[in-house]
Amino acid sequence: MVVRYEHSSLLGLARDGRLVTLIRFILLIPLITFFIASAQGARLDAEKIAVVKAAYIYKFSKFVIWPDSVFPSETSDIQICLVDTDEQLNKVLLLGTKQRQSRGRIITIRLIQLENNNAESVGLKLTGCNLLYVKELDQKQQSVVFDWAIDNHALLVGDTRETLGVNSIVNLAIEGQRVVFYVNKEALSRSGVQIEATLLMFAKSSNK
Amino acid sequence: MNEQLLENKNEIARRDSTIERKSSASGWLSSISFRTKLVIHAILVSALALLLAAVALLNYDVYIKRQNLVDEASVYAKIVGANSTAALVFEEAGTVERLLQTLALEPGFNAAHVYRVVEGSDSNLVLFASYSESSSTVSPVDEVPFNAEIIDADLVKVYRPVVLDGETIGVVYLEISTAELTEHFYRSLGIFCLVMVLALVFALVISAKFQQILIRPVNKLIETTVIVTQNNDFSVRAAKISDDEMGTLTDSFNSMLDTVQKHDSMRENVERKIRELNESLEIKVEARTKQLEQTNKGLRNALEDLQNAQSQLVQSEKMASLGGLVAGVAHEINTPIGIGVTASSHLQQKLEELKKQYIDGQMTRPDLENYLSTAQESGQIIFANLNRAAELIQGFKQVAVDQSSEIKRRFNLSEYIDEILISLRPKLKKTKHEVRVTCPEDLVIDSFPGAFSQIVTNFVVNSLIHGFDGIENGHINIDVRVQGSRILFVYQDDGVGVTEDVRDKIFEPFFTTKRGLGGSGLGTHVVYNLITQVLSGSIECNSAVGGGIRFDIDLPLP
Repeated sequence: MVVRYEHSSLLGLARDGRLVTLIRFILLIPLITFFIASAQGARLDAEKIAVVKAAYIYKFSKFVIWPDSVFPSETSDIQICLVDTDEQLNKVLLLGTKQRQSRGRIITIRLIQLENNNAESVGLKLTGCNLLYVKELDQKQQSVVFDWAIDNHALLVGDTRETLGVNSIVNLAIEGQRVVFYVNKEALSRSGVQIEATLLMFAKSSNK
Repeated sequence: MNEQLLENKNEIARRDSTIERKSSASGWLSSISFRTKLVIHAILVSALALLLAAVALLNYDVYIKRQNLVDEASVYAKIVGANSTAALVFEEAGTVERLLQTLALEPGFNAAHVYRVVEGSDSNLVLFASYSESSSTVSPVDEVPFNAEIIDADLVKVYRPVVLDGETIGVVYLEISTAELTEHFYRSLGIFCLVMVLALVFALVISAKFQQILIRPVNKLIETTVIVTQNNDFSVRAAKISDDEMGTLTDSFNSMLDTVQKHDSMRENVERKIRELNESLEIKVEARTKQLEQTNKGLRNALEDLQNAQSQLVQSEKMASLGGLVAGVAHEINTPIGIGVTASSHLQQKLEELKKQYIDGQMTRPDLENYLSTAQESGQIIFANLNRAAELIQGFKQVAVDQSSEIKRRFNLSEYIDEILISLRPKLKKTKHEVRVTCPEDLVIDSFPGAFSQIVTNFVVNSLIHGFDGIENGHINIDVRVQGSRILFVYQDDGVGVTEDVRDKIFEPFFTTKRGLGGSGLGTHVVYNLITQVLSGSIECNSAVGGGIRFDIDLPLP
């Protein structure tokens, strides 16, 4: 690229090659800015999605009807158990559900980490949970948790493509720019947990 | 009586004509027949009743329909709210919009909006989903109430909150057109008008038939009244047609005619009797008047006799007083005269003895000297006693003259009271009572001494007879004082006094507590008249039983 400059000082810069370096630097600035902004945007989207998902999990509790037998007493809490989920979502839910109630019961958030695939061990850890949110579990752990949820009348909310329609009752997904949820009606029926029709009106079905 | 009846009839006729004038002035209604009035009455009553019933029913119907619309809208709003909770929470506006579109299939729905409460502030609403049939506008969110019903002329608007877990998460607004209601109203109005016209025609026919039945007995009654009025014949009776109220009226009318007939004959009898009675009454009145005149004449004579008798009695009282005075005088004079007589007879005896001695020639010088001494003593005694008698007579004469006459003269009151008391001495002397007089010695007045004499004499005599009855040592005080232009004359004794009843009547004529024992009952009455009429003063009596009596006399200073 040959650039002819009329100005003497610019001619001087051109002669010693510094002008080319300057032009290259100037061209690099927007590119660098774009990459930084993209990284920042990605971080912001992740935060936003975490907030929306946390809100969904909390709001599910308002439209789910558990059998009376799952609560030890009329004043027992609704326990939302976050199993091996990311720290950001945990933080949002812990802060967002403080002093909140659903169906006249206080919401309690429990953070659970599963250490093995042993059903008995997993069952002990999950005892008392009414709503389970699981994310990055291996297939075996997911299956154990799913079985426990079916047997213990808990609503299992999954958040991966792998669990959709298989090892979850409700499954969150991102479609386009929106968070949507699928309901595995067969599993829901087996679990004995009911979801109000008003919620099911816009839920997607994960059954084939 | 006949004139009065005629006047009453004229008065009734005047009133009737006045009523007729007023009626004719009030309009054509008074000139139409009773039959037509009955028909008009039936039609008007029926029309009014139907109108009132229709207005009430239409109003109630419209109210109920409108309320049903509100209830319907309210139910739909609640249904929409209940089905929108999850959509509002998860912000699924599409679901709610589909719901609203489904609702819009219902007839009459004009618009429906769902507002969402923005979390964190109850009053901050945003339009969440909306459906609108035509030109309905969406209310600004800050004007949306959470729970309200607004009924306009054309629209029913209902706002209902959407509540989840006790928290208001949104507001449903439904708008229903009242066009159907208006249409229903006009349809009902048309039906009512038709029913009303039919009912009125029916009422007209029925009332026309009925009025014939109703009027017939009335006409019979009218015919009877015309006969009675024209012929003045109360023996006519109305024919009874029915056994209803008109039949009762006919019976009552006939009964009234019976009564009127009886009363008419009774009235004639009474009038005849009254005429006879009047005639006899006039004769009786004339006779009674004559009797009364004679009686009045007799009474007037009796009154005159009585007044004369009273005057004579008063005069007698005065004379009695004078008589007492004369008796006193005689008694008082008796002593000096007697002494004088004794002395003169003694002197005469001595003179006879001396004369005999002289004739016999035995008279000695000592005898003559003795006689002269006796003659001198006797002459002195005779002179002194005759002088005393002359003095007494002079005093008594003055008092007696004063008592018997009503001559006004100047006199010393103190001395005059003493003279009066001297004249009373024969009465006082027989007792141990004391009289004390306090009076200015130089008080000379130009008045009626006879009056004073009568007053003092009567007071003292009353005290002796009544006041000191059973009392040996009584006291009488006569106190005379001059105060300015008045003389205060107080007479007081410490006798038995009088009761209140006696005190009140003490100045009345012929009042006495000693009737049959010599009291005439005129003493204090004479005193009262002398003080009030002759001396132009006043007198007051104060007394109590056992406390004596006191007379306070107030006289103008003459």
